Amino acid sequence: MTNRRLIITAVLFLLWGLAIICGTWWLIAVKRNELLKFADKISTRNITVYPVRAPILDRNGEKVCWTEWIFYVCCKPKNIRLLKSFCSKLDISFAPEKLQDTTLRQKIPPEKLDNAVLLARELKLELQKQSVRLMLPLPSDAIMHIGKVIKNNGLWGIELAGNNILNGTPGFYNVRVAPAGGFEADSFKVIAPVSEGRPIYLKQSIDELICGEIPQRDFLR
Amino acid sequence: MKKDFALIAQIYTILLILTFSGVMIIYSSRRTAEHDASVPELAFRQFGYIIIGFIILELIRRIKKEHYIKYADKLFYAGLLLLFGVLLFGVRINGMKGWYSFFYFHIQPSEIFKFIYVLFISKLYIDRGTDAKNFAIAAMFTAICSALIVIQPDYGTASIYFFSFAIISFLAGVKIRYLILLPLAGITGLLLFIVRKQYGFNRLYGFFSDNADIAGSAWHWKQFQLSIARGSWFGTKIDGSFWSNNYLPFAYNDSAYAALHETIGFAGGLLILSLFFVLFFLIIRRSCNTGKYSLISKAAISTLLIHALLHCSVNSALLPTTGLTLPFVSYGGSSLLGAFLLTGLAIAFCRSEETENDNCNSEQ
Repeated sequence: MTNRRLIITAVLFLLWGLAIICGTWWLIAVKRNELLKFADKISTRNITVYPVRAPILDRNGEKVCWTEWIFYVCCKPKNIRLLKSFCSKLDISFAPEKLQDTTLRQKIPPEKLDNAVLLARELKLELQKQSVRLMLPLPSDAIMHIGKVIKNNGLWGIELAGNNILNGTPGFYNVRVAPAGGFEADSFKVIAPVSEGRPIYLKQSIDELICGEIPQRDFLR
Repeated sequence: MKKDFALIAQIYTILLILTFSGVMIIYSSRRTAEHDASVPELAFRQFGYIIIGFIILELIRRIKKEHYIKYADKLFYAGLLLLFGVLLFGVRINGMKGWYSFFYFHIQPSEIFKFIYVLFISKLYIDRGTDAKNFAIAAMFTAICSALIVIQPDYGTASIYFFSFAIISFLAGVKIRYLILLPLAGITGLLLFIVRKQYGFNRLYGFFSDNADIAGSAWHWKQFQLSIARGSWFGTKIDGSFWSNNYLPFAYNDSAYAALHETIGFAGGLLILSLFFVLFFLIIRRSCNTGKYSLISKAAISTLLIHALLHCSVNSALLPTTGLTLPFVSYGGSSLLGAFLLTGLAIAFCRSEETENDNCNSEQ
C-alpha cells in the first residue's frame, strides 16, 4: 500500500515538473515574440542626445569660448547632514546652493570627480551635471561682439550668428530604460545619429583681442 | 557504508550546484532598489550562509535516529513557542511580522520550524497509526502551525505546511476518504485569504482575468513571463540580465527561478528543476529499505520538492503570485537553513542500519 502511494506521489511530482517545463516552453517557443513586443512597449523610450556646443577659437586655434561640464551633488534639505559628510570626506568647502526651496546642490571640483561619484553612490546622493559656456577675460567690446549663450543658444553676436554651426544636430535613439534610471547598454538603436558642432574661428589672435581689436569671424576656415 | 558515502557525495554535489547557481543569480541582480545592501555584499553574505548551511547539514545528518525520535515532541512544542513568540517579539519586514532580529541577523522561525514539523507529524503517524482520530490530531497541529504563520501574515509558507501535511498523510497511509477533506480545507483557506487581504484578491484577479491591470495587480505575474521569454533557450550573459535586474520584483529571492531563466535560459532552468528531482529520487530510493521511520525521510524530501515546485510554478506563471523562495537558490539565511535542515533530516533517516550500528560502535 505504502509503496503504491509512494509511486503515485512520485508520478504526481513528475507530472507537476512536466507542467512547469511545458509552461516555460510555451512562454519561450510560442509566446516569445508577443511577450518581447510587450516588453519593448513598456521599456523602450526615444531619447534625444545633444552634442556639446563647439568652441570659438582664435586665429591660432586657441580657445576663446568653450563649453564645460560642471558636476553637482544634490539632496533634499532634510538630508543636509549627508551633504556635510560628503564635503568633509572629499575635503571640499561646504557651500550648497538652494534650488526652489526643494533641493540643495553642492558643486564638485573636477579633480575630485572620480571619488565624488563613488561617495555619492555610497551615500545615496543624486549627481547632476550642467553645461556652462566659459569665455576668456576679454575687453567688454570684444565680449559684446562674441555674445552670450543661455541653454545652448546664442543670445547675440557671433554666438547667435553661428548657432547652427556650433550646436551641431541632436541625435535620436531608441533605448531600453530601467524604471529606477539607467539603460541597457546593448539596446541603443539609432534613429538619427548625433552630429557634432564645428568650431568657429576668429580672424584675430587672443593677444589682439585683449589689445582691443573687435572680433570678426573668419568665414574662410 | 560505501553506499552511504556515495549517496552523500551525490547529494553534496547537487547542493553545491544549486547553491552556487543561487549566488550567481544574486550577483547577476545588480540593481536592488528594494534592499539596502549592495549586491556583491548580498552575494558574499549568501556565500557565508551556504558555508554555515553545509556545516549544519553535516551535523544534522550525523545525529542518530533515536535522538530525533526521543526529542521530536519537545522540539515541536519549543518550535510552536518560537512561532508564537515571533508574533509578540518579532520584527516586521516587507509587511510581515515573521522575523527575530539578532544584531545584524534576522531569523524566520517558520522556515526553520518546517523540519521539526515534518519530524513530529511523521512520527505521530508512525507511532500512533493513521486512523481518523490521529488524522484529526495531526490536522489540528497543522492548523495551529498554519494559523500562527497566517497571522504574520505569510500565506506562502502556510501553504507549504498545508501541502506538506497532505503529502505526509498520503504517504503514511491515511484513508482516501479522510484525505478528500483536505481540498475543502484548502479552498476554505484560499477564500479566507481573498476575503481578509485585498492584495490576495488582486493577485488572483491578475492571474485569471485578461482585463487585469498590467501596471497593478498583474505586474509581478507579467514580469515572470517577460523574464523567461527574454532568457529564451540559453539565457542572456551572466551579469547582463537586464529585465530581472530592473523590472522583476525580488529577483534574488521570491522570483529566483524566473531570474535564473533570464540568465541561463530554458536549458539552465531545466537543469535546476532536474536536480531537485534527482535529489528526491536519490533519497526516496534509499529510504525504501531503511525500516520503520523511513516515512520521515520521504516526508522531508517531499516537503522540499513541493516547496521548489510551488516556487517554479509561480515563477513560470502557472499559479498566482505568492512570496515563496526557491530552496538552496534564493537569497536568505533562514530559507537556506530551512532547506539544509530538511535535507539533513532526510539523509539522517535514509541511512542504512549498518551505518547506524557503525556510528553506535564508534561512539561506544
